[in-house]
Amino acid sequence: MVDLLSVLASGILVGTVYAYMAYGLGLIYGVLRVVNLAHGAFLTLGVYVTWWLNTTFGMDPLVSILITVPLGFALGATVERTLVFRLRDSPPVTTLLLLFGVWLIVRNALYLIFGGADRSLLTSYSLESLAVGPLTLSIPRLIVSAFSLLGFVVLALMLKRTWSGLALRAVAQDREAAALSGVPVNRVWAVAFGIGSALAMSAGSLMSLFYSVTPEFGARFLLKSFCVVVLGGLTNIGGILVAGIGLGIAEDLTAFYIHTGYRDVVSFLVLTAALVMRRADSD
Amino acid sequence: MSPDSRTRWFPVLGLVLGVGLLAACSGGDDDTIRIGAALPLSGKHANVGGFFRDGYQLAVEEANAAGGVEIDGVRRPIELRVYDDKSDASISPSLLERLIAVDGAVALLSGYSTPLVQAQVIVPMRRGIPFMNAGGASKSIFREGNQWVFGALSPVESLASTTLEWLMWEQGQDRLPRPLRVAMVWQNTDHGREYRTGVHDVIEGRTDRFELVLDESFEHLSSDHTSLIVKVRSVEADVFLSDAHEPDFLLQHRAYVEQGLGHIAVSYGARGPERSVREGLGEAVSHLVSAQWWTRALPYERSRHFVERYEAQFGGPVTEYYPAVAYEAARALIVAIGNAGSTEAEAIRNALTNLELDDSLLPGGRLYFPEESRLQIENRCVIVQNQPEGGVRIVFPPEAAEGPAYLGS
Repeated sequence: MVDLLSVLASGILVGTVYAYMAYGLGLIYGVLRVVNLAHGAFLTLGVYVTWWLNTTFGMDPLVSILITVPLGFALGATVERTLVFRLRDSPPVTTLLLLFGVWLIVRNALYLIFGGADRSLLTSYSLESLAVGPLTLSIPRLIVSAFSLLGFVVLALMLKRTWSGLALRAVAQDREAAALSGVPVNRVWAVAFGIGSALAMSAGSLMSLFYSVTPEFGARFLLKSFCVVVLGGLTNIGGILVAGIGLGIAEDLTAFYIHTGYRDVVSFLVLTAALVMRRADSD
Repeated sequence: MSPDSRTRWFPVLGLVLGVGLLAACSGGDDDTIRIGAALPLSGKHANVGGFFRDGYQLAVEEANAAGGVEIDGVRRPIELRVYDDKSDASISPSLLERLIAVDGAVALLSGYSTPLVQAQVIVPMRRGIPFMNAGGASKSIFREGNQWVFGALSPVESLASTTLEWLMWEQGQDRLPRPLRVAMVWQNTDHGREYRTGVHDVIEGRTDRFELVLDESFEHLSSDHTSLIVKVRSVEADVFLSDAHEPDFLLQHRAYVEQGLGHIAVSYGARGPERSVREGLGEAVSHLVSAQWWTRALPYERSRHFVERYEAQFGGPVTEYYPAVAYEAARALIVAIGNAGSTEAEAIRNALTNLELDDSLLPGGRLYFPEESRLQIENRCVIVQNQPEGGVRIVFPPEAAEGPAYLGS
């Protein structure tokens, strides 16, 4: 019983991490209808900026979010204004390739600057855990889960309660109607890309608490982010949170009760099933 | 001549100049014996590639300082030519082709990592050029009928078998129970599968010594290891063995510590003494046991000589095995060229096949390339244990041990 509870708790903690790294991807797709292949680049930049701030100035990864969030917003908005915006009327594959190119440039730049070695962050709480009854919960994972839930609440409130959120939802529903109603669509696109990138970079910052820092970091998690976004509904932030947690639990139960080697197979099986079912529904 | 007809000659002129330039670049001094390597000096293995280059370079400099190699009664200098394959297995073979065809390399030294070396060995086997491998331990590199690829790194299975030999030795000292309950997890790669084979080879038929209570694989770059560690906890083993590359090792041991596990001995194959590991996990890696292809405390004259020379030239302390094995591989190749007294590929190959260095810095103190193991050395590894204050201590084999191992509870 303790083992089952441990596995469930681990699945929930891992799932909230999946959700956190996928929020930005879902938001950008919802508003711009763009599959952001540069998402992996922003995740990777998040871990590197955090690692660099930690090793250079001794800054705690939790404090470094104060830097990675605005930096991510500025970088994302710049990428949208200077690159994505110019291709807004092009076929989707053009933007896809463009953003893939952005990712490759960032990845190779990181190789050039920092090399390819695995690097890690060690804080005073990196290896701490909390005993809750018979369970042992990792403090860094609890922190990331708390941030993931906080991110969900802030994002949901922003989308529902603010003018910017209303504008984002309006553009997501019908770009032309929103434009006719006076919504500055171009600015909304830049804001959406900026928020999505800021979320990705902050997720990267927090994930540096337990994952190795390498230029391939984004590649490791991009596919998982896609799985979560597709499962949760491409534009549904709440759905993304539920899908992330569901996927985390499914992976951990599979790893524990069937075989650890099948852990990553689960996400792709679920993704395939979700796509097939969506297709059947739309038919 | 019209301007048009004059410009028609420009491509031809360019071609002639290009070929001339290429010949000038590649030629160099005819007396020089050239050996080459395609190393991952950038990309994901860049840090290790640098160690290999330094190790190779040190061996070449030593040989040249001693007057080079005698060929037909004339002493000739050695030149090491290195290209960066950017950690890309699709580039590496073409760089080796260039080293042979353009630079005139008479023998090749390997790059690093099993996948890169697996891609490289196709070239020396097709071209019939001696290839000294110090960067890939997988047996899959050494194919049936292999005549050209020589391995200075013992197989991955040796990591496992030496670890189990150490455990049996500790049992013999009445410091460990019999049978010992062993939980083993392994990365689902060639490396991990061969580690598993090494464990099974020793354990099978020794039911009085070992009981394998968990034998499970995991995927490379897994996003979480907690459920696997919970499974390890549930089998209540005495010893935990894992074979993982560094990113998985860091995540797995983090989960191990977070879940509060404790075993009499914990080993992650060759992982443990690296500086990056201590940076990432701090004191949590104290008392980890690892099997190594070399460690600086080995009590051999050649090893001490290497440490002194390496640290004087590149700074230290040298905590990784990479430059030492690279140095030894290059040294063996240079000695073999000298023994062959020729730069002919077959003569060098025959000299390597018959080579036996009795002053090696590798564990066991001997370097040779037995035909029965397809020209891959089969020495035992050395077992070291991380110390709480940093650094490692040799705990096995007994003749090299610096003290008894700390065995947890």
